Amino acid sequence: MTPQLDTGLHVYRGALRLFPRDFRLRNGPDMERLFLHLRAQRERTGTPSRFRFWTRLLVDTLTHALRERWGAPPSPPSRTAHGTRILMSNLATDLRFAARTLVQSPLFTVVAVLTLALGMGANTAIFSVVNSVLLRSLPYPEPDAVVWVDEWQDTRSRSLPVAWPNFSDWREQSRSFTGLTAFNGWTTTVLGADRPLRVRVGGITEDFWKVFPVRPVTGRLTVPADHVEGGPGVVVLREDFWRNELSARPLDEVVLEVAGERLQAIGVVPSALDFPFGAELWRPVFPTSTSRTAHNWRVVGRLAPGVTPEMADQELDAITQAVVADEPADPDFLAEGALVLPLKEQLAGSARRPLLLLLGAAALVLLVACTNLASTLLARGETRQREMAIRASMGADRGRLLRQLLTESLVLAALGGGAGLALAAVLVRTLRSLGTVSLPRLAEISIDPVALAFTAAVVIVTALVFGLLPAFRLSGVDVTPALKAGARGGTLGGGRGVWTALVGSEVALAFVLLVGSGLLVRSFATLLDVDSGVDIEGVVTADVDLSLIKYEEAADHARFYQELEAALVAEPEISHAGVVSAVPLAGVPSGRLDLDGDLSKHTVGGYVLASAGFFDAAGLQLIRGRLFDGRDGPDGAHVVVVSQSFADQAWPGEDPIGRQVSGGGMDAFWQERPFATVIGVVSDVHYRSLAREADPVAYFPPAQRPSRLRFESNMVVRAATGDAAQATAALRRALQRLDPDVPPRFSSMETRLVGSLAERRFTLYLLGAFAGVALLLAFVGIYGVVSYAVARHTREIGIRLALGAQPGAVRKTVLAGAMGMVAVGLVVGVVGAVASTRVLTSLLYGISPTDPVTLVTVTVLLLGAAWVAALLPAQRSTRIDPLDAMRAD
Amino acid sequence: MIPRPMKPQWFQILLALAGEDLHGIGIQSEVLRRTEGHMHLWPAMLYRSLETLEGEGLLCRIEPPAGAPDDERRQYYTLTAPGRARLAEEAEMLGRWVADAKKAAAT
Repeated sequence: MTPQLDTGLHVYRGALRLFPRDFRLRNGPDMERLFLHLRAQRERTGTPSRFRFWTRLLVDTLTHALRERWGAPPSPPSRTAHGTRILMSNLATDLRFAARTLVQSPLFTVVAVLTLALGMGANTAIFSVVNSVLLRSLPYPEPDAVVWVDEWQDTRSRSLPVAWPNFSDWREQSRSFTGLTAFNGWTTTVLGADRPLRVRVGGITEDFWKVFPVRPVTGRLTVPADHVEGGPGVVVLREDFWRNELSARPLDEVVLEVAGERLQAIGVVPSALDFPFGAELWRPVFPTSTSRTAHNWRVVGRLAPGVTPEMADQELDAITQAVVADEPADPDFLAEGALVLPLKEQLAGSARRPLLLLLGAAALVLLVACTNLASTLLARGETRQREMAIRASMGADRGRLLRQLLTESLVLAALGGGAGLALAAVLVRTLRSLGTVSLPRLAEISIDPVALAFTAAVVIVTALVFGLLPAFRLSGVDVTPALKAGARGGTLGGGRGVWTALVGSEVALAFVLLVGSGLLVRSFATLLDVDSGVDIEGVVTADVDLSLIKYEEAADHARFYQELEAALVAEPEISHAGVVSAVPLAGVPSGRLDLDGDLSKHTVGGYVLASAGFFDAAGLQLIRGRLFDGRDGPDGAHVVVVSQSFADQAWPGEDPIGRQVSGGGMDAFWQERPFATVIGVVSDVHYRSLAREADPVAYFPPAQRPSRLRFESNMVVRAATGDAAQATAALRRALQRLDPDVPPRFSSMETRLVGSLAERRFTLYLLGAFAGVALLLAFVGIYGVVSYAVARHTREIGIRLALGAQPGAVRKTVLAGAMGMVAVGLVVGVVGAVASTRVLTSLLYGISPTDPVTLVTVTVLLLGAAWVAALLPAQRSTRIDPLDAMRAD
Repeated sequence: MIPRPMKPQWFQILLALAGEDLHGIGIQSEVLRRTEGHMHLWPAMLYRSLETLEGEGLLCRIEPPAGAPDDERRQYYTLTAPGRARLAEEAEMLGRWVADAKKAAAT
């Protein structure tokens, strides 16, 4: 039995934390051993029951921990501690009594503890995630002053990366920043470490370290002299990279080949810094284009003291408008202003909305849990009024009764809290282990003590208020009538309104959660039906990145891929192979492409380099014309294949074959812009995401326009047998043979497809789980309230049965009462769902937030569950023996 | 000062240690055996009692005896001389009461 997997031991260890630290240090390990011994004994002999065992164990821990912490020291008992001793011994009595009461009604205890645990566990886990991802500080000084800056086009409501001249004007003219820096970053091959590596490299410009003022572990950061073009190339390393990949060699011995340059290592920064995009290396980079429509840069800045993002935004807007005023109009890609966002918001990105949604959902679960607890405790409290009255008549004063009920509630809350903590721990660990989920800063997630304390407080207050309510009520009235009435179920039963409110709100909240998760399920199913455009079975992609020193010219790259392609199709495991600059579902560079030999006529579309083999390997259909072949070499006339949607967009209703497209500013021909003739039309592919329209794309042959292959190149192969693993092995062998210095990363198309849905699946699973919990709690709540109602009316039902009422009629009355309360909840729930599912709109695909199918299904489901929950006690009511019912008085 | 008579579980712990030096599980098992299954010492109660008795100087912690089967570093306890004396006093007192009770019940 490995300790990590032993939940029981984990729970016990958690409970031991109640003891003061020094006590725990001295005795903790031995207490755990004794626990394991006792548990093994229990399992061997089968006694006591698991429930009794755990209750006793936790009560033992709780009572002694409390006494160890706050009790008078057990010895020597001084006279002054006498009062405390009485109190403590009362407390011990109360605790023992509470434990006994709880053990005597195990069903109630289990339900209450589970309710508490679910409410607290779910909330704590989700809040911990939200806190780590959205709220917790980033690992550099004054993170709140760091902002992300994009260009903004108001007329199109979209943001764009930044063009260098705009950045340069901002930097010169703005007064809002103490540092403003442009950067880029991508994954590239790095040679010179212990083995060839694919590494995230940040390309930085001057002022980067003003925005992220970290202290180097050793060596130095880049200085302005390093940011002068043509100087000796330098690189800054992240500490973990330096230690793991370079065995922490002295920096003057470290020269790395990065993207075609030899760079001298000059410094090491702490591992906590991973900006931008998880960078492990940072090197100076320089502008390559002076166009205001070449959106090649990302920009971050550090706000000057007292400047808000809004103020900076306004200033940059004004500067942008002034500098673009003289530019030739190019509304597609010219900035109209700037967009300044706190970096934290930008990094949370698309995860923000689903997380806030889940946080809201978890809050609803907590509400359901509290409501459930309230009704359970209220019902139980009222059935115990007779007991309270007896004890009051025996001389227990009000304070004593209150204290005892309080102790009971506290023990319950402590048990629930322990279970909730365990649940939260399990949930957080599960969330972290969902490696496919693309949550930012996932590894930093841990249980948040503030969240735990908060939910614990909410639940405990609920437990106290509703546990004590009956006692307060009781002490407000004369004891005698309560004693008399007690047997008949009490005059203090509370108005029907209270119960309707409790049951109604549970039903309404569960309804809202169920509708929300139902909508997500339906959108997910719709999305799964979307055709990605690629025949994914047996298709493997390899992200290949060649050394820019060994392969200097773009044509060298094109030649390499041609050889690789030929080598691959010779392998028996591979039926087709091709090179492509953009992989489906992984995004596509898009820009302005000129049309029909006329530079004033253009459309916006994706620019992709693809060899003929790619179309076959990915399973795209040729709709018209032909694919690239031997005629389309470097010296042949320029040709292009377009996607169906590109043709529809550029030449609606006309024949695209023979028309012309240029590569715009997307390749090395951006100045003369030669036009290529359309020779074929292929089927559409979703390059960005399944949830978006298929992208209009122009495919150019790499032989004619190889320039982008230097940075964006993937091999796509189709397995001859449909077995992706075999194709991967063959691909690896071929690459190894041609150039062992290439560290490729393989991934099957299927993995990519699954990965592209990971975030949605994550939201779906969690919301689904919350809805399930809410349904379960509502079920238990309805069951409890109806059981209580039946118990209270035992005598009345007995009389009716004695007077000849049909059991069916009795059952009907009980059911009708219950379903009345449920109906109220449903009406409220429908209104709530329609009002609140709007927030889901951006997460839905292909259905409306008021999808009638979902609403009806959920209504039927809830009605069914409520019916069953009410039927069980209703059925029992028909079996009441009239004689017993009367005698009970 | 430990009150007279001492708490039953303390008495049983001292009694268990009077025979031989034991670790926590050993004490728990010995007490359970001697009381014929009537006295369960749960972990928190046991170790808090041990702390108390140690604080009174009636017992103390020792290294595991040589040849102890356990390779883990369990804590062993042994009775001190005052502990042994106190156990004897307690037994003597209880013995008088038991004798009185027997006499009273017989008449």
